[in-house]
Amino acid sequence: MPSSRDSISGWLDVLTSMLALPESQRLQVRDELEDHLRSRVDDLLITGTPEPEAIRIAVAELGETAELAKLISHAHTRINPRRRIMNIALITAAVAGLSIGGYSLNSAPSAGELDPSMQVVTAAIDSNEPADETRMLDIVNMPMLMAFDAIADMWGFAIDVHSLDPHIVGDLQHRNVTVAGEMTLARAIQTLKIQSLQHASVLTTEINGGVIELLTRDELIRRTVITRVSLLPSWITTEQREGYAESIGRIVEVKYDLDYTSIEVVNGAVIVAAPPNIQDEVTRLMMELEAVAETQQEQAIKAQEIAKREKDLLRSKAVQNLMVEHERIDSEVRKVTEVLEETLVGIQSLINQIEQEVKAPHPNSPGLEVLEGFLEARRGQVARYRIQITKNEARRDFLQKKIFESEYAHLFEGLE
Amino acid sequence: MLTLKQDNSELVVLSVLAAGASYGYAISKDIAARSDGHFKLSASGMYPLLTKLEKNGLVTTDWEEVKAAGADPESSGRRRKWYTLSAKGQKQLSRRIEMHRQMQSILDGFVLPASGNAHTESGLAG
Repeated sequence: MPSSRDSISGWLDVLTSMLALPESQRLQVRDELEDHLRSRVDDLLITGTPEPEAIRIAVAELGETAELAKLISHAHTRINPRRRIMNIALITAAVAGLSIGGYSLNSAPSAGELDPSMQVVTAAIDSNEPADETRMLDIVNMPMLMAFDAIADMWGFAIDVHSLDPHIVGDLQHRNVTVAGEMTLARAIQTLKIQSLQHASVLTTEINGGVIELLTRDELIRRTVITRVSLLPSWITTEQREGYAESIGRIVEVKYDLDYTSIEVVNGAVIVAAPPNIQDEVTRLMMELEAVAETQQEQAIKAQEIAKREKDLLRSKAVQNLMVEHERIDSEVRKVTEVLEETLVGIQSLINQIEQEVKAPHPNSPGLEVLEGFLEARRGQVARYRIQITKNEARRDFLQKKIFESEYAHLFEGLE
Repeated sequence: MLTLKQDNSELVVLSVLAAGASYGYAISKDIAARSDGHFKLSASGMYPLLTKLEKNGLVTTDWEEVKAAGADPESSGRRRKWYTLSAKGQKQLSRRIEMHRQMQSILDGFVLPASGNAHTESGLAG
């Protein structure tokens, strides 16, 4: 059966294991607290208190073991005496079974735990002193999470745990780190981050806007996501809408991981939710597509203008040809008309001559039959001239109509 | 019993050490005794404070081996950490005492009967 004195050693073993200090300092703290406990027990024994009860009282008077271990550890790692001791009680555990203050982390995952990609550890600023001030650090073989807490405290920050992934924090809890020398807060955290080993690709830190954050890269990316809504280009048809979003996604995907990107076409708008760098890439791509579309539209307009000019030129030439023919026909009509009129005058002269021949034949006259033959021939000419004139006039009228139609055709094209 | 706040703890512990070197448990007993049991400095308050005082050079420390009464003279005893006020600690204590007195004087002006009160009353009466 173990002696009651051994129970003091057992409690000291527990407390010592909770101290985030180098071995030599742990032993010194253990010795000092052992002296305290045994001195107190001796006093209680003198007053007649039974030894087991005396030990129970002495241990109870020291307070909560984990809290005591943490305060003593902090006191050893704190450098600047002027800095206000932050309320360690701010540390809260978001995951059931997790006790940061006591470092009694239960690293086994529990049902309903948070998505590891969403886990965040933040330290809220509570100091007016700039983070770029240097501090002399002497953290040796301290669990990483506790070292983070201690470092934050040195610059007047307090750790505020919003949520924790038990796997990651469990590892950080048991991974000892060393941060020694004079350095800035950023340098200290960088030194910590380098030592996170298997989490190096998962974890990152941010000192931004007065807040230190130790968080997963996934969460860092997720929280940068912004949403932009822009009008769908007018040249996109309804059938092309889905294809437009998919095409942009496929192109951007060649260069970027699109785990936290969504490109959707909704009711004539393009909605892009993505980190800024991908947003910029999408925006640039959309602008280039828009520029290409505008160039295509300009080229189409130019092609239409060229086609129109060629068509107008052809029309103009056709009208010119028609006018030339019209002029020629009109001239011919006038000439034939003149010839017709002369022929009619000649016919009238022949008629007069025949009438004269009937009344009094002239000795030099070719004779009535010849004259009547001439008359008949002239009448035949007149008939042919009139046919020719009628034909030419019809042709001239047709040309006139064609010219009119050609000249004003562009006015009617839109109505067709 | 009152639990000492941190600002007062430093003044009290430095004052205790001004009377002579001491160690953790004895300091806590001394505080309780000198305050007639009104003050209590818990272990979670005292040991971090002593560490801070040591790191800032306000106290020096030494280790002593202590053996329980009746223990085997050949066996090793437990180790006791002694704290001694340094010169720097003495200056710090003097500053803290002066600050305390100034504060006390200011507070006395509010809580003790004084001519100022009578003047105020007469002023009101007038």
